[in-house]
Amino acid sequence: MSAMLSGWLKTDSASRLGLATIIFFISYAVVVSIQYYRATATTLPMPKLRRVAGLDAIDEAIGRATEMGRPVTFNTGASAISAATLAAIAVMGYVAHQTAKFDTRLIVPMRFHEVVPIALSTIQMAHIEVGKPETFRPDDVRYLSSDQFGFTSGCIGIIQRERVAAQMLFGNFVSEALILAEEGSIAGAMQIAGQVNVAQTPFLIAACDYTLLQEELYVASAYLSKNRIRIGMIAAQDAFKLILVGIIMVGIIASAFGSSIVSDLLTLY
Amino acid sequence: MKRTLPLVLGFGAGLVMLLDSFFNIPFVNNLAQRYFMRSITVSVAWAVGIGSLNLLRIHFRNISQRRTNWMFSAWLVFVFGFMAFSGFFLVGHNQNPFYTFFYSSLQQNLSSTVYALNAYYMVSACYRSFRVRSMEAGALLVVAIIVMIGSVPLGAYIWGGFPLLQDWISKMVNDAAVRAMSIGVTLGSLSQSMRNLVGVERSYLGGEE
Amino acid sequence: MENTIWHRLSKLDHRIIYLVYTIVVAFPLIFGLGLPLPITDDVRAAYEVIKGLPPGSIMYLGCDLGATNLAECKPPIVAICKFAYELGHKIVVSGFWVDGPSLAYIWMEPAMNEIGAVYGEDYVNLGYRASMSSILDQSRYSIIEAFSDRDINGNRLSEMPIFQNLAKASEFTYLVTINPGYPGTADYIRAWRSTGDVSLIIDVPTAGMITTNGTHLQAGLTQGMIGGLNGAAQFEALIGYPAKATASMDAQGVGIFIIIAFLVLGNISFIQLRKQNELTKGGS
Repeated sequence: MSAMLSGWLKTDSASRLGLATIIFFISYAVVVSIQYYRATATTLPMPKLRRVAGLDAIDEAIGRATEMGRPVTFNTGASAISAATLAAIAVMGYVAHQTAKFDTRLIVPMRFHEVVPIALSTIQMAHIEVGKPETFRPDDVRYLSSDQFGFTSGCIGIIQRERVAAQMLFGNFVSEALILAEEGSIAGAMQIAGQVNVAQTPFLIAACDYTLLQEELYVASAYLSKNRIRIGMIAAQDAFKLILVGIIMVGIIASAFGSSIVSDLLTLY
Repeated sequence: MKRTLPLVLGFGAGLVMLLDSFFNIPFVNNLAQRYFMRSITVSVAWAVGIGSLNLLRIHFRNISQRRTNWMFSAWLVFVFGFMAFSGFFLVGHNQNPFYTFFYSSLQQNLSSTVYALNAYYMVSACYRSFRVRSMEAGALLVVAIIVMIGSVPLGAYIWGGFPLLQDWISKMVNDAAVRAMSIGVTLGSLSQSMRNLVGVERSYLGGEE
Repeated sequence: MENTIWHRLSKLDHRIIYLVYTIVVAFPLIFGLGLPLPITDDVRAAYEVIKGLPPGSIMYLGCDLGATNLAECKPPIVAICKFAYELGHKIVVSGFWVDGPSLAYIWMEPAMNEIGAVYGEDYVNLGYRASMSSILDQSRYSIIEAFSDRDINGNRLSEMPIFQNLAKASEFTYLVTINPGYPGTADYIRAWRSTGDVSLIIDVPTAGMITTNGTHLQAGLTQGMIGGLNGAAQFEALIGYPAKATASMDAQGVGIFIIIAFLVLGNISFIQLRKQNELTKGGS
């Protein structure tokens, strides 16, 4: 049996379908299935997501920009196609929808070529959905530069020249985070940041009005759309986190007593 | 069909890559390593053209319609063409002395200058925003000062204990917090990826479901 | 009440802050203070790892950086390459940021020529490739195929002496990754360390990435860390080659103290203003 399995399964340490990976996938699948069932059975109550101030403030920021007659910028950060960028695009879809509804200009500077067509189609669809396809401005989705600070310089120029009233920084940011946030602050923009880079969090907390902390970015799409299935996946993610915390706690207590049973079991093939 | 086909293709490709990670199935392994991985390389390279065309289209329109600050767009187009010409057509391409002169003397230094703005913005952000409004903020301020002093030679010169304190705070306190946040981010990105893979999250196709 | 010094300090023009900062940081840059430089365990560990490897070891230098990282990344690259060459190691350079390998080529070339290293024999630059994950995964089976048998100048890799004993990633003795952002060290760990291909990794993050990459070092995924300009200056001191990084340390130290001074000043003005407001409210 094990000879048959070892032919099929990869054996190098990263690819090995070890006990830990099997437990991980099975428990994740179980939790997701439970939550998916709850989500599709519309009579069952869904778990409530706690209030995330930064996401609630998006409407306030767009309202402020609408009243001032100045644009909103939405920045998707320093990663090409990644989980963080996809989460940011989900938020961008909501922001595009709201700005299209209120005839507020949305400027999206881009650093990576691959994301440009995705952003263009997301914003165009938002304009079509609110019944205003003629207000879509493709020139407002601008590829600036792949160079980090070439891109940052371009963003600084946009913030200063267009005198933006609201700046949204969602995605994965690196060193340019503080520069963009401070420039927005100097221009008097209301700023909301949601990014996953731990090292940049302190700078954005200091410089922005609202900051989402790390994984709150991944909750954004479910939070804003109130879609049952997405909320269910978030609940599954949180339940699975509790399972992981439980395993970690058992491992800590075991190793405090000199036993490595948890790590041995998890690396058992 | 317009939205279903990309979802089906995305799910299929994701499933192939997932199976390739764990299983020795020759057809799947070849498809993933020989075809998909090379396709990613080629398609990302092609995307460079899309970005460049987007850039040029916007700036040509600025120039032709004489919009505000159109002369900056003209300068951008000139520099774009100049560097592209020297990189593509001069002998040695991007190792040509002409190209490397402008790259080393202009772009490197300009980029480094913008990067250096970080230091100034850090000072102004610290001055403007870090206010001791509570006990926790006060404790954060004290810890931040100790870590900053401990990370430079001048701090060690003042008192040898600063680097030790900074090292302890970084390794014992900070690393634990970073790990906790990294676990949360990893699970979040796993969940996001799963939602994209199975088609629950479709915002990248444009619009809601 | 609105014209008190504390009120004026709380509304201090940011241009004044920038001017004071510039003057104070320029002074040690021009005149130097000559402060001593303590060596940390992380940098010493990186030095010992490289020094302990035999002649003929092959280093993969991952230059995933941009032009903006000139100040922080050039000094450690030059120092590490010179040190590695003196120990008889071979160097293979590549990177997955658009500018990285080109910049490494520009920065390394004069330094390597100065010490007599021969391109193709002692070091080679593979150039930039898009899509890091696929190239790193392909390199586990064949580096020449992954990089299409071309270096940064278009020369054939299969004809170079350095590739006579180098076929795949597992034949690299150690990996040095210059890491100012993403992609970076974590991707090399995923692609090569966790697969068992390369077990020795020296991390060279910029100051902004030290927080994140410190967890890799503590977990044993990397074996040494040369973090930021401070780490580069320490490494230069260890190899006996004080250069740009060492010269910048005095200015960096003074800059940190200026930030602390402004932090404290800002909070003093905040506390004084709050006291004044409480007195005003109490009086009325």
